[in-house]
Amino acid sequence: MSSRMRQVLPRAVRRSNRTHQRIPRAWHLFNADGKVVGRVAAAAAHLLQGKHKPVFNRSKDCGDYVVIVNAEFVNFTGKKWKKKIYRHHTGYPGGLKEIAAKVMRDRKPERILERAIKGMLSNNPMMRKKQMSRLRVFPTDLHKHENQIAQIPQSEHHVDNFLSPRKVETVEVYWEKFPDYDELLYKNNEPMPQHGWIQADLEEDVYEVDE
Amino acid sequence: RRPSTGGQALFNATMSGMKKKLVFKFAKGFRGRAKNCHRVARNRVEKAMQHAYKGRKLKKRDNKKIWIGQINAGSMQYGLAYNQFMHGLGKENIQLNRKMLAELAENEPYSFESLVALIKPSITRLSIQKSNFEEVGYKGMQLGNMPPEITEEQ
Repeated sequence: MSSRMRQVLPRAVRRSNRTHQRIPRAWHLFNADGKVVGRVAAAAAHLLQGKHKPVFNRSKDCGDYVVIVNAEFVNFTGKKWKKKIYRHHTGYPGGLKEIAAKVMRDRKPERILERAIKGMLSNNPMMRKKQMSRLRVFPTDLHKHENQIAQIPQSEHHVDNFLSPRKVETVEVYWEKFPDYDELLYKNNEPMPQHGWIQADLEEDVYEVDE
Repeated sequence: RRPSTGGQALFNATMSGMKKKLVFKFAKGFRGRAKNCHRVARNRVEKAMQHAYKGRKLKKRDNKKIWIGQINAGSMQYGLAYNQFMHGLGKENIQLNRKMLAELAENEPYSFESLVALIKPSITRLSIQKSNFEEVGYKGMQLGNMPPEITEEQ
């Protein structure tokens, strides 16, 4: 028996010690009106897993929320509305249920997209359940996540890379601070720089003055 | 027998050469009888060392996979796929390895952006992923535009 006592910090402290590992989750909105099912599903699964983040790792759940709207008006190519059949077995003898995609659209249109996306996510049941719970599908234009979608998360660590605009001055100076000058400036006899941030030394002979 | 020194040399060829004390030292944290009973522990330790041998090789593969995915995500922010990005780096003779590129993509975004700007003239094709999001009716994250070229004058 060792004399060392294993120190257990209180739960609040343990969680706060991991703040550098926290990844903020963003909300994304898809309008599926007239779009192809598989393509919407592929893009949504890409975001649900968090594969658009340079922080991506399967060991941590870094996925985002996805809201899909107008799921009723999503499109299948070819004759799939008639021919694509969703099958499941209830467990009882003779209990094979076969539902055509057309019928599924009438009964519960969200299931078409949900099922497509579920098949595109990883097979790990813990991850898949959590990621599917972050997927919200609505048949019409109405969705109840307007507040979440309006707010884009801002954090000190990672999200600045791909969500909020860049704020470092040096970058702005290099690329954005010196737009094309208007004709007014030339008329007012102001010196015209050749490159944005280099002051060109122009000779007086080259520079014509209108009087 | 004289005990040999050094890491690998401590363990002789057969498991019978490994002393009981060493077996139990390895078996710390094992489940049930495998940590306390020598016969069980000996088998589990042997298996554990096999797993460790395999894992040392798998670790290198798994990490490279993760880095490639992270670089892909980082370069997609500028409309570039991983393959185009690496092709551009090769053309410009930038010898950064995937580990460093992934770390840049995660922690040094402006350095990563400057890499993208460096290789932009040597790339003819932009990837399709960026346009797919528009096809699919996606409104949300705004993927950044490609930074302008770095010319010799600047």
